[in-house]
Amino acid sequence: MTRSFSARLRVYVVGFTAVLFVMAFYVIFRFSYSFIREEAVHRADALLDNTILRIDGVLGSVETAVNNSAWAVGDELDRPDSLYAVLTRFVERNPIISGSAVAFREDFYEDKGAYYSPYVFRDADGQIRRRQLGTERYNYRKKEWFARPMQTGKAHWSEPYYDTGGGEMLMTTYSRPLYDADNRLYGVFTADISLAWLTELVNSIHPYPRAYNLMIGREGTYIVHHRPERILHETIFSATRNMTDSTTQKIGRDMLAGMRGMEVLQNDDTLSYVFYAPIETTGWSVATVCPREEIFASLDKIQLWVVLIACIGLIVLGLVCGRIIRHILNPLLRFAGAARQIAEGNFSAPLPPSLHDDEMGQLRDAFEYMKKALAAYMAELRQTTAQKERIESELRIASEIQMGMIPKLFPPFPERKDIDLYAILKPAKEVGGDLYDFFIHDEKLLFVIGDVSGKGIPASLLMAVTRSLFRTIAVHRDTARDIVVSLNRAVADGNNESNMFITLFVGILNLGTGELAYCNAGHNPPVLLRPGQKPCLLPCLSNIPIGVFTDFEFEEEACRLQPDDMLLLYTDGLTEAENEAKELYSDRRMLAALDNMRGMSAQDVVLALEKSVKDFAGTAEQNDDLTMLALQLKQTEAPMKMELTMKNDIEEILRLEDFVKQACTQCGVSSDEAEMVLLAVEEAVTNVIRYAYGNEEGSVRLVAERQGDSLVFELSDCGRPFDPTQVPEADVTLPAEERQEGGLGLFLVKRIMSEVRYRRAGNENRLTLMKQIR
Amino acid sequence: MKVSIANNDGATTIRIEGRLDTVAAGELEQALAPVYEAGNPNLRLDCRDMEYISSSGLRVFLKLKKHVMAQNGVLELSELRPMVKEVFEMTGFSKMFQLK
Repeated sequence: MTRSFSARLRVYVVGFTAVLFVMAFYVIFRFSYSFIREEAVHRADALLDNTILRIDGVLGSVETAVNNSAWAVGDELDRPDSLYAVLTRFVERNPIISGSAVAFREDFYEDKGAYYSPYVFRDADGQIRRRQLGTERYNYRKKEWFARPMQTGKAHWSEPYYDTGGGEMLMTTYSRPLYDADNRLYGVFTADISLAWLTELVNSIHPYPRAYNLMIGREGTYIVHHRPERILHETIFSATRNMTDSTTQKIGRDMLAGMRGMEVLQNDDTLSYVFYAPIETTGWSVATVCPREEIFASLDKIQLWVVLIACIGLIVLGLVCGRIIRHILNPLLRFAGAARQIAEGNFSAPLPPSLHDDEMGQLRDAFEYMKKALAAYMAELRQTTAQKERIESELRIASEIQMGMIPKLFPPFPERKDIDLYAILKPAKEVGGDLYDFFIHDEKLLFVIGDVSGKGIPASLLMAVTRSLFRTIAVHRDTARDIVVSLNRAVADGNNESNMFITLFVGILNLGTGELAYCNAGHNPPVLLRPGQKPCLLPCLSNIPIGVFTDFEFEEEACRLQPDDMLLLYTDGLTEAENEAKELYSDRRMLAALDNMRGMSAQDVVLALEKSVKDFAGTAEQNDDLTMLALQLKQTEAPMKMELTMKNDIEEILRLEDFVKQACTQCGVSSDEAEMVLLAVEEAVTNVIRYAYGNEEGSVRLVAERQGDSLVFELSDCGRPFDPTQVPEADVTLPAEERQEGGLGLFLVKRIMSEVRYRRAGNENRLTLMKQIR
Repeated sequence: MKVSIANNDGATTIRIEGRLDTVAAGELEQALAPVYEAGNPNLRLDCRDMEYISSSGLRVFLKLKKHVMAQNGVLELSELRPMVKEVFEMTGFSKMFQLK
């Protein structure tokens, strides 16, 4: 983190500096470039001017010498041969002149042939020689140096040429026309100068080491060039015809036009500056070609150095910046370390010392303050948390105690097949004010559901009181009304200050008959789910909640539950559960939900309804305790089976009464009928005890069992085979005097029981007595 | 079962209370021995509190009836409990004892 920060800072500093450098260098180099360029132009111009001046000077001196000596030629016209002496003197006197001639027009002297031209020149050794130029082989009449002045009548500098038969070298000639006294043109006086000399002069211009010069004549022919083979053989146009840059053609035209200027020329791979200027005297033009890199060599060099220094400078700057930034950030790193330690809870973590009252110093102060504030806050938090934990732990225990008060083990009566019961209690807070309770007393199910006004601890306390009162009171009261009245009195007396009340529904269900007596104290009416019918609310008087008026006269109601009827009791936590849109779950939704739950067990109904209301509420918070209790009276298809084993002693029949009556009760046989059944069984048993074993000891086993809608007794003994059904019936129509003792017992058995069957199984007699239950 | 025998106005009143089952019939038989010996032909049977009767009990009643008939006496039978009455009707004893 810090490393990347310092790296970033370094990049910014170095980058910004580099940009500044580049901009500054660009401006400097732009100025330097134009300055150097201007300098180069000035310098080249000056050199060119100097050269032209020197050439002009030389040419001027030649012209002056010729003009000054012209009179001497006129003086010697009558002595043609003495002209040699005049010329010799002339050449001797002017070392710059390599040769000089006087050429007369055709047939000027009759005795000297058609063309007479005495010529004096220096040979290769510097010796002065003389010759007559006008021979048949060397006809000068057509030569430029003669023809032009003769034609124009004016002095003339010839284009350089190689003088064959004359000077035998590259030269240019100044020709001055000669006039006689009658102002008639009779010939020319010439002076030659060697081009080698001109070349030397021109080439002495050296503004830059690799610069070179050239001079062209009036036709563009090279007069001076650093490649000698081109001199006189090529023109500036022919030599540069193949160059891609057409600037040379323009340069050539400008030079021929006698203009002065400068051009940039791309020649092959070098860029060159070409400076040119005319020589007015002769109409020639001189040019200096300077490679660009030489002109700007110093600039390039400086540029290289500057860039090099800038790069080194930037690197050094980067390093120094890095060091400085690291130095500055070092305390920050230590702050980070300290912050981490503080975060881990070490409030005594040392902070880096602050030497200055700068930003770091302020940061240190802030850290110091944070440390102290955090330590204080942590201490406070610890205390608050401890308090909160204690309260929460107490609440948790209270909740456990409260939940321990209500029956929570389901099924609550596992041995009973005739009642299915399930209940839940979900407090909105840790402890709640709802309650339910139930127990079986004397074949009756006593149950209660209630809701204490308010929530939380006060409600939970009253709930605990109410539940305890119910347990204590209920067993001692015969009716639901009495229970409610007693509860009301107890709660109202002890509860005057807090003004809390409880809605209750108390019911007493006779498990044998399905008769339900109930008393409602301002509670929600339960739902009755009857097979084949829509769920409906049990009709209830509302009365008032308990705890309000001590002497309120509660009224009791009654109904009869049929087998498989289910009663669902609930608190308003169900019907008044709200969803996010503040809509209530309502009786309507509850009844609709229950409509789809027909045929389900008590547990399934309660859990499905809980899920239904939970789905309805969605994310809305549960704001009231939710309690539900479902109970279902079930068809008692009790597989009742009882067994009694007796000795063959007549006293044993005394045991029959309880046995048979119990069997009859369990099968729903009325007590009147039970007496008759007892009679039949007693007769059958008496028969076995008296006769089956003779005088031997034996036993009789009696099994009572319910089979479908019949109560069946099976009597078995291991005595001698005897089928009572085959015994002829006693004639009950006979008068007393004709009656026999005996036979009446079996007669009664057959008359009382619905069916009597006998079979012999192994060594056992088995007599089956069946009684249909009405 | 409880049996009490009283003699007055020339008739012997036999009062039977409780359940006259097979065991009790044996006890009743023994208790009636003095009645047979006394030879008083007129008997009054008070069965208003007799809750139950088995065939053995009926046999005792038949024996008493025969005894009275042999002496040309009169046997009077009190009101009967429903169960006992039903048994009497089943067995034809109701006719025998001229019950209404």
